[in-house]
Amino acid sequence: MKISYEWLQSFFEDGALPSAEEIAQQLIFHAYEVEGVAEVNGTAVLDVDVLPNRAADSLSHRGIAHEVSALLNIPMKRDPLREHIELVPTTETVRVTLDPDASCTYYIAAHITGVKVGESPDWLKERLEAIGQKSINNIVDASNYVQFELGRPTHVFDAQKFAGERPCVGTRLAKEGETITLLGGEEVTLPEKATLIIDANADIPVAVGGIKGGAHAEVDEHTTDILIETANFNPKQTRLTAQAMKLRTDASTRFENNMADELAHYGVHALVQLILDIAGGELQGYAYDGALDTQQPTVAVTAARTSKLLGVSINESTMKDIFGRLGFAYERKDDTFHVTAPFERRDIRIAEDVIEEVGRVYGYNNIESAPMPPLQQSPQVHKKYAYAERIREALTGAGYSEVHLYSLRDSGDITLRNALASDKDHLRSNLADGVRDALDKNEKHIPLLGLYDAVRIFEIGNVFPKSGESTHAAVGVRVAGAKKKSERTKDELLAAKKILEETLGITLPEPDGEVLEFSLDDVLDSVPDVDTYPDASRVQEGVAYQPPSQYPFVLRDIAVWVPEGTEPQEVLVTVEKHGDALLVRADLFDTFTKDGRTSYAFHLVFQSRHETLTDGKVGDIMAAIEQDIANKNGWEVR
Amino acid sequence: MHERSIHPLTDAIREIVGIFSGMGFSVASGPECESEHYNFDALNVAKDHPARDMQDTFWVDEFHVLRTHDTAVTARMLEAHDGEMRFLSCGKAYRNEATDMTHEAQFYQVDAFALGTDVTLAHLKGTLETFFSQFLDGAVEVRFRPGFFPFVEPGVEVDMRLVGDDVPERLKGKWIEILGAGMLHPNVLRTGGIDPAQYQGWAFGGGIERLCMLKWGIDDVRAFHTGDLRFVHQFPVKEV
Repeated sequence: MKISYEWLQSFFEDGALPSAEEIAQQLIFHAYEVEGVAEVNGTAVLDVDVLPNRAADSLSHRGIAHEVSALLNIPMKRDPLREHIELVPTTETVRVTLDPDASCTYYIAAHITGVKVGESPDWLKERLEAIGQKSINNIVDASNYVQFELGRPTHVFDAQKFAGERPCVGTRLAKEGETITLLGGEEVTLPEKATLIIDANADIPVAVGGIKGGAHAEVDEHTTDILIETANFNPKQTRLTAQAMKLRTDASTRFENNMADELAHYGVHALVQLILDIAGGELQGYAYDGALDTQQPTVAVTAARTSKLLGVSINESTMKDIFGRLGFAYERKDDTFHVTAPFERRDIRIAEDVIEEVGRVYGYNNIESAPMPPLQQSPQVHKKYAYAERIREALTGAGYSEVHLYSLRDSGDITLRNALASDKDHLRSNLADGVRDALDKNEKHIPLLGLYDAVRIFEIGNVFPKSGESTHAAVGVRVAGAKKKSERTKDELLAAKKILEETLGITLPEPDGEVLEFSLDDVLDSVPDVDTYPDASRVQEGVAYQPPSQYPFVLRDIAVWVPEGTEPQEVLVTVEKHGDALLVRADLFDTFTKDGRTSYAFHLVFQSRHETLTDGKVGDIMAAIEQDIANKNGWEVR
Repeated sequence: MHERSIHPLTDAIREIVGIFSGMGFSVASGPECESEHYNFDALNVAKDHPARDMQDTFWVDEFHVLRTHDTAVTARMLEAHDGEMRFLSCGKAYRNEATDMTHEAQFYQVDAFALGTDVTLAHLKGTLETFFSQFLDGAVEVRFRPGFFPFVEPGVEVDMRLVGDDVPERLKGKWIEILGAGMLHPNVLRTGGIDPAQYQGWAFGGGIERLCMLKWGIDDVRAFHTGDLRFVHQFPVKEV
């Protein structure tokens, strides 16, 4: 939420506040996140991200002002929620009648006649514009202003657009397929259980309760008589309706967060005063229906318990000071504080809530870290993790690389009720399908990976067949080349199977094609318990990761005759000199010696991080390499 | 044969298990397809909490979700054990959200909690300092900011930064928001059959991919789960 520094300052004596940056720092470490501070029309604007448990009291300038007052220990010059207000007189000129099933528990309407709709005064426009709100007219702006001043949404109707001599506001649930034209002119179909505000004399919907007003009774430039709505809507139903309508508004956000019922009175009172002030008119009075729920619990807490949970010694005078700053009332009996938060705070329900308040105002930075005390018993060994680690160590030792793949796939026994995409709407029933896909993908990169004989991978992960979730392991092989493919694949997997059987001491099932998959849970049933984890390998230090290039690679082979006794490294040095950064990999794949000469054959892989390499460019590099080799005594490109 | 390498997630989990075993924590696990009870109810996530909505959670059926956090394992351990305990879980969790460089529908989470008669927020701070300094191999500072998670009270957001001379340039002087934590909510303890008047404890949870990204400068969270060996092979083993 955007908070104008100039607006915030209006709650304090001139010059009492430190800079916006300083306020932001205080809020970040003691209250809420602050995304940033920007300069708008000559005032600083803080972008405050109020935590969910504080949304009921803090989504307003008054809320943030109260918090700033508590944290910085600066008294407020004005606090609208501590003023005594009276909603008088009541009026018979309008009526309110609530449907008890329509998720609106309380409704207060204020009737003002003879207003003059026009432009808002500059101060009001400037405050709204600073926080990104467009000025519309003085009536709409006033309602908006009260929302951002007190955190209390209100709505204003043109009273003369209601049917009958005596306007009657009602509520009911939307009918199936019912539509409403919203402010702005969009016609929408209402979701089931949406709360509608209606012109009860004509049964015409005039607003979607807690979310947005309708066009029917919209205030326009000819409006003279207005009806101000301040109502309490069910938080959960407001959220569900806003969600179904894909229409989250400043109002719905506040209703969703279960703000205090009492705010309704402060909201309507503030709005009536503001409108009389800037648009004139005469207050006919207020009409109500429903009831307020105004219970605030009293919570018992001690300094000892507070200190014990936070791990820092907090004395009673610190507690009292913090309660005072937060406006918490308390009674002290023996060593226990009985604490009652002000009505707008909806998050103080149990002792731990109070302890959190003390902790954050006191400052988490003032809590010194402490090492965990030693534990009597030593940690238990997790059998499945221990055996998974043994499998990993055995397979990586045999040249297999571990992969972690997606559990969400395009097929499987279990379908998600809500999926991100149609190719991710099932839970995998096995690991083999994913492993095969990964083999396909990696096969395309064989030269880049230098895996010219075979791609060997494995995964250990959970699968979700009809029979229930379990942990599997799967080993997959894709041999390179077409010759004797199935035979070589089988040999590879049987070798892996043998290694695993020796590691686990049991017999595993036969591989199926390119994959050997088995249930680790089944294995665990027949292997002994262990009392330690294996001493597993670790990644070396100083690894500097580079994302794989998005551009295709080019593979070229070169075979070179050199005098017998020449090391392959010498040939590589020559090759690399010309390949520069584009030569990403060189693998020796053939060596033989004949008549005093040795032949070395290399696969050379070229790839750029910035472009697709052309044949011409790679050809130039190869020509330079071949030229250099030809110039060397006794060297020859085959 | 190519150089032996280890998937960075596996290496990170090895490191984490090693660090926490040294502080008396036992490895725990639970199902990824979790009941609404352990994923939400037992963790004090109210019936009408927005997190239960379809857009954040993958629902398998009316009563089961793909666990949205490994904290579900914490709920299971609290129920299964009594008295003083320390558990650690490293496992897959799921969120129904659009993927980008920093968000994935599936990710690994480390969740740990310690319960005792006098386990405090100060112990959490000390534990996290030990964790991060060993994991990132350098001196660290840890700071708490107010945070909100239904299963803890107080709740904190945890930032850390590396300090010292040999900090990599990309991390130098930077505070990094790394995980969420707090003191286990009395409702969570009670649901686990533990008397909150007698026992208290801390809990934290965070993404393992994120820790890996910090450690190795990996820029895209999606790289972890593709099965692409061009990624995995960048993490060769240390010769012993």
